[in-house]
Amino acid sequence: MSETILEIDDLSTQFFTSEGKVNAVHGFDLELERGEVFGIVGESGSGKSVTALSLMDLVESPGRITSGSVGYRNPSFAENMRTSYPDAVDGDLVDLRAIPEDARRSLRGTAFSMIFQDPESSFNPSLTVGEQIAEAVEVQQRATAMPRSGRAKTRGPEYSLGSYLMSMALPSKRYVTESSRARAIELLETVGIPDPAQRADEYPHEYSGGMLQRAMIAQALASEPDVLIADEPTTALDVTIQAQILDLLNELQAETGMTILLITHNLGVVARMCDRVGVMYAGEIVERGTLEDVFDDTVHPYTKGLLGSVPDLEGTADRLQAISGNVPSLLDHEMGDRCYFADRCPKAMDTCLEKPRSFDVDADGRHSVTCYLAEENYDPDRALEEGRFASEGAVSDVGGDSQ
Amino acid sequence: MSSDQMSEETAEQRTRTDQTAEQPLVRVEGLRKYFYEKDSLLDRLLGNEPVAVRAVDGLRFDVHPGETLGLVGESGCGKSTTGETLLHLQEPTEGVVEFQGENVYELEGADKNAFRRNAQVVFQDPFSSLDPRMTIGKTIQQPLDVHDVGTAEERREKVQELLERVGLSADQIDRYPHEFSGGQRQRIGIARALALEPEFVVLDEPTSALDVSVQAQVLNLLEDLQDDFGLTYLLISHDLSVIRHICDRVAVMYLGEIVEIGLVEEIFQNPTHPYTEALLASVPRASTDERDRERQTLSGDVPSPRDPPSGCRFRTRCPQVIPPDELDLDQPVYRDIMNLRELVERENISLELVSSHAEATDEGPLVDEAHIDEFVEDIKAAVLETALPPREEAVIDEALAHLATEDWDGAAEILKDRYESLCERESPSLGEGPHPAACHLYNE
Ligand code: SF4
Ligand code: SF4
Repeated sequence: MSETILEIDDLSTQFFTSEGKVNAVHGFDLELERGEVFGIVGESGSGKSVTALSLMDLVESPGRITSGSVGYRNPSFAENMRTSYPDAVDGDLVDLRAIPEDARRSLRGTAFSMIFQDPESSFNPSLTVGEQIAEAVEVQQRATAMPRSGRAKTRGPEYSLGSYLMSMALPSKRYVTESSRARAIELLETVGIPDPAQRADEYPHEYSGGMLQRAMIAQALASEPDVLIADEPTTALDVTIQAQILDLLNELQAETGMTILLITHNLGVVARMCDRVGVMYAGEIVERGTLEDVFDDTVHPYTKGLLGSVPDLEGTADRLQAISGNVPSLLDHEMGDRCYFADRCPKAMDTCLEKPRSFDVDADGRHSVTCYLAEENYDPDRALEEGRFASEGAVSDVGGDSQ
Repeated sequence: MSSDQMSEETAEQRTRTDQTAEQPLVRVEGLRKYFYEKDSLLDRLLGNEPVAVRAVDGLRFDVHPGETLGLVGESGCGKSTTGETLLHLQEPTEGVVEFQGENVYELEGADKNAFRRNAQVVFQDPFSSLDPRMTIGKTIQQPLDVHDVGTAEERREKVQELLERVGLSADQIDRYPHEFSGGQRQRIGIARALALEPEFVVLDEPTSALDVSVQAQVLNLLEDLQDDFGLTYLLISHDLSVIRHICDRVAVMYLGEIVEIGLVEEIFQNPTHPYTEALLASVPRASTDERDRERQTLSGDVPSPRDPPSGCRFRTRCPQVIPPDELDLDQPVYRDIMNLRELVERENISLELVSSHAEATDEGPLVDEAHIDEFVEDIKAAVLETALPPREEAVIDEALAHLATEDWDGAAEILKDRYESLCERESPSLGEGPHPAACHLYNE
């Protein structure tokens, strides 16, 4: 196993709503290896997007990270943190949950970058695209000049009223420095924007969806991140443009060696991009392994169901194997102690009334599953009867993708 | 209505289907729908010419009784506008849509009513298409009320029957939309569309807002309903795997036009039109061989429907665009040259940034006579991706040298003279037969 760059242990994020406590992510474990592309796949309400936000420390009220650690491996950062926060540092590994917020946030937009489904949301409509990328470049340069320390003031591209008014008064060419402008143009060129110098002076609304997605990737690259978190980066795009963006991410990953955490609902995108995969359901990873482990040697009935639901582009399956029912409620008091998939699972047995832990499928421990079927065979005599939990009322989707 | 009557009705529909097997249920001919921009009073006062957005530009296709015809394409190709115009939810700019032999746009009175009952639609968004203040029973019953079908008692019974039929339970009739999940709401939308026992249903991205496991449930349901009620579907979708799964035939659209139409198996196994081919290749497959699957991606974006390319609308991205006969060029080189032409014609190269020999002055960039060669080399390095054969290099050097004096037209002229493609001069027509494709490669 190569070196890990992120070690996430027992991470939980909860939302405190009027209806009760919502367990969006709970007991989430993940080790990311340097330079890999890891895919998190799940449907809406699975908690995959909240996981991403939790890693970036971007969870907003009424949500809060309630437990767990996020270890980030970086020798120089560890060095900087060691004196002030010795408890947070273990060798090269810094527990980001154990250092103060501003130190943690100094990593955002430098060590970690994130791209989203909707690029409009990460650009300010009143500034040119070039200016905003140049600003991200400045953030990175300031951070390098003043190494990632607890006192770093860099906070990512946030816009003060002053800079906003400035931008209205001087609509374009408000670059911080000539060199950051040049770097911004270079980045736009890297992500395949034709005529980048001219496009740098245009505003976000003058870009097509695919072009703006490229620009957002350029902005994310400005910081030369160790880890790029890509949350549904191609979901809003047409399929020919999606293909371009996936190729671009692949090339950039190969060039820079950055680690990518790719979050998506699209199993085809996972198959195209990822070395390893984690399948999320009801706030936790229920099956993980290499792409081959998860797609070809599937163990978890939910993973099987997901793969069976995708209509085949080449094939002729007469009928899709839908998963019956709906995504379960994530309300703490409704989740119960059984396997969270039990009320939809075609293989549920009496054992499943108790929540399974994560089992290793094979000896090397790379393929693991949160399901008893990893350990025992399905026994129809012990099956739970159909409609077993129906009395508990219809559950509907809790929230949308953001939950 | 009892279930007996329901099955009788189905049998009756089936016979009707058999009798009219040669006769399409829907016939679309020359359908156009333009939207106009800059068409306000102020624009007219200022003398601005209205700009036509050619959303749907001359479609011809039939939908046969009992089949599912798919309309597939990327955003902006006009597929949803086609569905809406065909149902007369929008006024057409031009063209005819016949339903059972009668022009939909000329129907009046009882005939118009009959068409409204017979042709229904299911929309994409199960969240916004249901009125949150109405119980789902009322929502489903509304079309029955509007068309005054049966007694109050019968209507309610019919609604309960429909609920059961789409996989919900009859006792949910007095619940409100927010109590249902996305998949359940889409079932409600389907029940509503079926309330008047239509023959024809337009399904506009019916599963795009749903998760894949729930999408599978809804697709299965749609197939069952089609079998039970002898429905004819027009399925509009951007999702090729959904199209493949559920359609009998498919029409592929690009920039307001149909580029290829035929049986689903034929189109998916043997796509003829270069756009169809590229579209299919772009879809990532959910299988472990996907990473090693070689595929060509299309470059660039879809051009604007305000000013679509001359000739074949796909020519600005087509990987098989046809070179003039007298040229003997590898396809990638020709594609590269065509991209260069596009940039020159749109004056889309920032000369002073591409070459250090061009200096921005008040009259625009100027290049010192002595450095024209370097300037031309700089442009080629910035724009071209392939190596040119010497003969072409000479032509392109000559053309690009015009840019030293900002003579874009001069450069464009030289390039056009040598490289103009049949694909930009002539618009390929769709042709006849069971599997036509609008491409000059196939229509000689
Ligand atoms: S633990 Fe039981 S209910 Fe849960 S997924 Fe496995 S077999 Fe199904
Ligand atoms: S007509 Fe020409 S440009 Fe259009 S698809 Fe055919 S080869 Fe390509």
